[in-house]
Amino acid sequence: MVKLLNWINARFPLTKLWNEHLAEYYAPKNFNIWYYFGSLALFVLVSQIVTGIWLTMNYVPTEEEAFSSVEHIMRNVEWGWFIRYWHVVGASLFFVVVYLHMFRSLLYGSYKTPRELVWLIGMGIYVLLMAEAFFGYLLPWGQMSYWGAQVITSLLGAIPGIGEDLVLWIRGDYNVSGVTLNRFFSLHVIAIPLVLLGAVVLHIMALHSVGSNNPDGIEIKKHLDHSGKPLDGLPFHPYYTVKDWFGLMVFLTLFSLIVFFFPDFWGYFLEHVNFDPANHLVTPEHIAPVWYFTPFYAMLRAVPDKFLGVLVMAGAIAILFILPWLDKCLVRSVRYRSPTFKWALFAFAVSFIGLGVLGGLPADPNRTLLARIFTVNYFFFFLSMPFYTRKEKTKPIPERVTFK
Amino acid sequence: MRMAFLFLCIGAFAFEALGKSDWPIDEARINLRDNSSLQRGAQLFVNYCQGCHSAKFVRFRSLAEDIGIVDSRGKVLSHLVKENLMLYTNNIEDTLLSSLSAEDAKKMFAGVTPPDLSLIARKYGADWLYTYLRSFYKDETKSSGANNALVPNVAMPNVLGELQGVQIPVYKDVQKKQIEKLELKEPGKLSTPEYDKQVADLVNFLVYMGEPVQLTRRKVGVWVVISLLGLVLWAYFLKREYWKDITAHTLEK
Repeated sequence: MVKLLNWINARFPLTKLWNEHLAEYYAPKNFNIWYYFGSLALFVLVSQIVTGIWLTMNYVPTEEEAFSSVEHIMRNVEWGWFIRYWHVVGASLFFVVVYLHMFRSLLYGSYKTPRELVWLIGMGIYVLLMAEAFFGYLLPWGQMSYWGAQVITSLLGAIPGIGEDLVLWIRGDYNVSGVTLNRFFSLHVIAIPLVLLGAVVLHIMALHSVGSNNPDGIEIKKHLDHSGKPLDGLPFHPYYTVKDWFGLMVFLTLFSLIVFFFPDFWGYFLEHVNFDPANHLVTPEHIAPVWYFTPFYAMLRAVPDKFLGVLVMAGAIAILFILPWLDKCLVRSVRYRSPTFKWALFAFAVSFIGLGVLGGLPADPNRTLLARIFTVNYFFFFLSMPFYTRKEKTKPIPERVTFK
Repeated sequence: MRMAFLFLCIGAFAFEALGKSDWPIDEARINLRDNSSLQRGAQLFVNYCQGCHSAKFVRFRSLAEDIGIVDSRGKVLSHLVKENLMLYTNNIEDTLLSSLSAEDAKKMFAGVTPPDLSLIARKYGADWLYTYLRSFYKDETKSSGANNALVPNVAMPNVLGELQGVQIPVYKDVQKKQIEKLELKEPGKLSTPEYDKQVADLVNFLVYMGEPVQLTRRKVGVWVVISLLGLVLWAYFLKREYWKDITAHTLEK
């Protein structure tokens, strides 16, 4: 065994990689529950790819066959129902995990110096994930798949000048059609996952080069022992591998509860209307995206002008990219930040969840008003951040990490 | 873009024409484990629905296996399936296709094709279907002679009318045609409780067809979740073992 390892190490840095990323990667020892979601996101990514491979074996990406082939998988393929549900539920849970992972970053200031690139690459992953989900959602070729794609692609038509040509170029047809289905399939199974995987590798490389942040938001590299290892760090393996393993088991239990007992999650993961095959002559009564897009959809609807709405929606995502430069406060963790920041973060979370709820409901004047307030607050959180964080009254930060 | 808008309008119109209602939804009491209910439902389906509707994703053989038309060794009793369920085909591997072609259907129902019913229960849910099938009433202004309180102006005729009898509406507001309730004017072959039970059987069968694997899914799920809970426990103790010496300042030496 040792001989084999030596043989490999002479040709490939296996032990070096293992040590750098697991056995000798020192992570702060005070990680709390918020720190499970990174490894869980990695797990869901792998599980989506594996189930996706099996789905692709039986799925037929044509206008005529797409819907039937999904039902074929659900009914005739051995364990096809399980693979399909796992993929569907996985898509939603991917967003659950990623949203929590991102919020963790907001809580503990993980986007701040020197982790700006970790954040930027992470945001890239988030955008890719949204594209992946959007393209994948067309594939079952149900009514909501079709009309969702129709509505979202038509948004690009609002761009002055090039809009209509752009829509035509993206759809490959005057309407969403079999042509669109083909290209979305190709993007969903090859292009985006390929880039996504690469981006995840970069995300982890960047993280492991600067080191993980922690709930206290302090630098563990400041206190080293005589051999140069952080006093408040633990080697990722075995400490965090066993801890994340426990997290994974809990997550898998919840995952399975949903897959086996509530796979459509009361219409939130699998929308009821999507059990009707795509029909370009009949519009569903109420078109709403799947829950993970509803916050942005609510913003779109809250703005009376279509093009401005598209800009607001895109801006809501774009503004997240510059977050590390909007936050001027030197203290990272919310634990030691001012009440102003805590309230702002709380109001932001309420707005985002509120928008998510509103985006899934049919619009009425009251809801639109509420969506507008939330949208303004969403942007206010970010745009006014340079001001309320510049001279923030922070609490003293501890020298060493704490367990809470 | 203009095309898209046009399609949107047509689509919106097609839906609006059906209209909405706030007719109360009744609870369907169904039991997917009750094979005799499913078998009665299947028989109602082939006799009353399959004339116009298909269930193109459902095969007679797997249907028979699932709802218990099998002998003691689990082998499908083909002759029973053929006699009782297969009205339009002799091949047990066939799916439940209607004999009505899409073109003929369109002519019959003013441009509306009867939808495939394989997934109808997943779209509308059991309670909705149960209410819908019991909410037809006599309406001479409609070409089919019937209307529906849950889905006003639906194109589907009152197929189960001979079983239920003739219902007439009692209006809250005659001008606005707001229906308060439906009253049975002429009894049909069945009493109201009998009819409700038959509709529940039919709905049970529709729910089964929506996802034939659902009982298996839950059965497997119980074992998966129990096993995983065991793993959770094991993983918890494993983690605790590794972490037992780690406190805030263990590595401070």
